Amino acid sequence: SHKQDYQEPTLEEQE
Amino acid sequence: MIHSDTVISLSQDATYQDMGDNEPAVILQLSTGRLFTCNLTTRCFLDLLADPCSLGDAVDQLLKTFDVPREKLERDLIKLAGQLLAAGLIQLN
Repeated sequence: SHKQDYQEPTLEEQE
Repeated sequence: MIHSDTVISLSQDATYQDMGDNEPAVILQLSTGRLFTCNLTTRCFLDLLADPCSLGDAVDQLLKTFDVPREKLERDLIKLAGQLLAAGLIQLN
């Protein structure tokens, strides 16, 4: 199966 | 300190909504109204935490989805879990 490109996980608090 | 045997789950004080298949998500902390955004990797991690799950099991599952070395993914998820825990979005089980 084809795997997705990996991006480092992000978590950003918004106003 | 979070490690691969640490069992975690989504906090009852948090809910999130994805923006579609393979899309990022927004996370809402119910008691405070704090709002967070995250990318697809974080969203896929949260998907696994509907029920209590060890960090190591989460790594195993996400390795099936993403093209990334295990050591890199585990390191990133430990860091992410620390951020989510500090924000009150996940809990230790």
